[in-house]
Amino acid sequence: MILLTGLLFLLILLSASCGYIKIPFITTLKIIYGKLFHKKEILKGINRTFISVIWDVRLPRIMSAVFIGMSLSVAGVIFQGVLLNPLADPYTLGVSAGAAFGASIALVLGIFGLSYSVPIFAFCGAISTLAFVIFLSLSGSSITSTNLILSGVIITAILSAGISFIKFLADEHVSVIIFWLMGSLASKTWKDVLLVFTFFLFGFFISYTFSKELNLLALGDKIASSLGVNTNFLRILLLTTASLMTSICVSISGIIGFIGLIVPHFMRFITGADNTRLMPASAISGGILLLGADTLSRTVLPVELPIGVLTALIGGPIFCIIFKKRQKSLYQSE
Amino acid sequence: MSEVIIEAENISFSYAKKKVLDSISLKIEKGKFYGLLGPNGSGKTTLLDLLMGIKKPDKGKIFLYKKDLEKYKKSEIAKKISLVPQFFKTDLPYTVEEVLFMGRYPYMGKFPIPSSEDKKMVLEVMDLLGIKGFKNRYITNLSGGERQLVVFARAIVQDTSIIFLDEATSHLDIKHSLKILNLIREKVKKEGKTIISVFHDVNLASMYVDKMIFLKNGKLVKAGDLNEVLKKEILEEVFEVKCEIKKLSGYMYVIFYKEGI
Repeated sequence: MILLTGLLFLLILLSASCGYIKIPFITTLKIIYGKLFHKKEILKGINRTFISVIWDVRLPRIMSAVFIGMSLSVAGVIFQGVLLNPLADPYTLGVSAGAAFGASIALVLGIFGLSYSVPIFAFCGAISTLAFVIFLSLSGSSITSTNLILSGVIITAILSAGISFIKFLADEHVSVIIFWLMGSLASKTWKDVLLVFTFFLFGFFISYTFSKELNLLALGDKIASSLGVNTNFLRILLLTTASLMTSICVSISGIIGFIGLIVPHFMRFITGADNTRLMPASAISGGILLLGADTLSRTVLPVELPIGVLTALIGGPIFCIIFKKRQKSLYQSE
Repeated sequence: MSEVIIEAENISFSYAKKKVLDSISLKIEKGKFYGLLGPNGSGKTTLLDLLMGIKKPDKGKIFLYKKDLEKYKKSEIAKKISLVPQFFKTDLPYTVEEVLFMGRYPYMGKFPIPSSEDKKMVLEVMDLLGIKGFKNRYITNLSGGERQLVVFARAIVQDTSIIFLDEATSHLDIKHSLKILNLIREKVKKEGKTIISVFHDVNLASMYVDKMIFLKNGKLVKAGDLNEVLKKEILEEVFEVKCEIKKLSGYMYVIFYKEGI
């Protein structure tokens, strides 16, 4: 855990010094230190442009990437733990699409001169999508993996059509929505960082408080209940929290898929399924992964790829592999 | 008559409009092994759910140790009654040891740190059931029999004076079934535990239980000591199958006939 945290800080510094304008590592460190603790004397003699590039351009983007990666991973841990399904994540369940649909409505209304809160619309979209997907996949009182993913796909398809319609309505302003939908971390401000950070902290606090109870859900509803857990309350609380975190991320950066699926999946190999360990470990590695991906797309690739496109291009195939492996193991255990 | 620890007074329960349990009154005595029998859909599982407070009766009252069950907190009931269900399946790779520690949840504080007593209990139970060898294996990789043994161990770790088994051995081969039931019998005899177990197999039940409770269509048909209620007439009424009872090497055996259905 300490190792991961160290890695994250190193990556933040490294990422801050890389880019179109190369800034020496030490200078980066000095700027961050000076700005963070208001030490004017340290900042003296450093190129003004450097300070502005690091503090006003790169760091907000970097910190957004970190907290969005963290939020999406923790949301993934929750979805997988509550729905007892290692394939669940905000993206595969359609929650991200729901949030995007809500946010697009807010955006298009904004174009027409009505100012509505994008995050609130995103949250309403996310939570109602989640409720509907669960309703759709309920057979009796149990939810099967296949039903859940299938419902998620269906709803995502419908919502995508809805989003296309909104794009059509947006007419010449359509580029705003398109660009945002592809998932981008470019031109984020400290205001955005503060928003994601606040909700990450809040969401993580709630979900970590109930991580032990989340473990018990794996024993099945009845046993968890017989151990003294109020299972319905717990599920609703955690799913709402996860949807809230997802919708804040979506409202800021558009749809960034598969982070919430892949990170918990691979962290389980290291920490095991125990959520008291899995959750913090996933949070930190989620931050590392998304920042790493964003830094790569910003510095190494010839053209800057929207981060949502990049994660889907990498995450999609990994999802296929996990899915196929699971089919095999299910087949063998029959 | 020994101390009554669970008492149900006229309890009824319905799903939607279907009546699942119809005014059942029942007394459960301490230190006895009860077998709960009846055809499919007779309300056996629902009765267990009500008695441990997972569901609330529409009508009637339940008393646990003379106190109204509704006045208990869930966490208090968790220290008195544990449950072994028919089977459980999960895709999440918890280790056997982690699952056992989950059984100590009612005794743990807010933080996920097991006390020395928790650790001692888990070790003891692993020894008792001979599952120490695979404590680090994932439950997702265990065979059906091994997994059920773990589910059973988890309930023992919960250290309650009352244990409910809901067809806990239905999916097991005869050796695993007898192993678990022998252990349960041992717990009743040595530690005065009280057991209510749903059985499908009348003959397996009659080898172990002290008392039997027969349900049919949500109604209590008969409850009492084994030798008083394991009767041809009662079985034929409950299961609607012709049968005969034979005594063989100290056990009562029910032989069912395929004719006359």
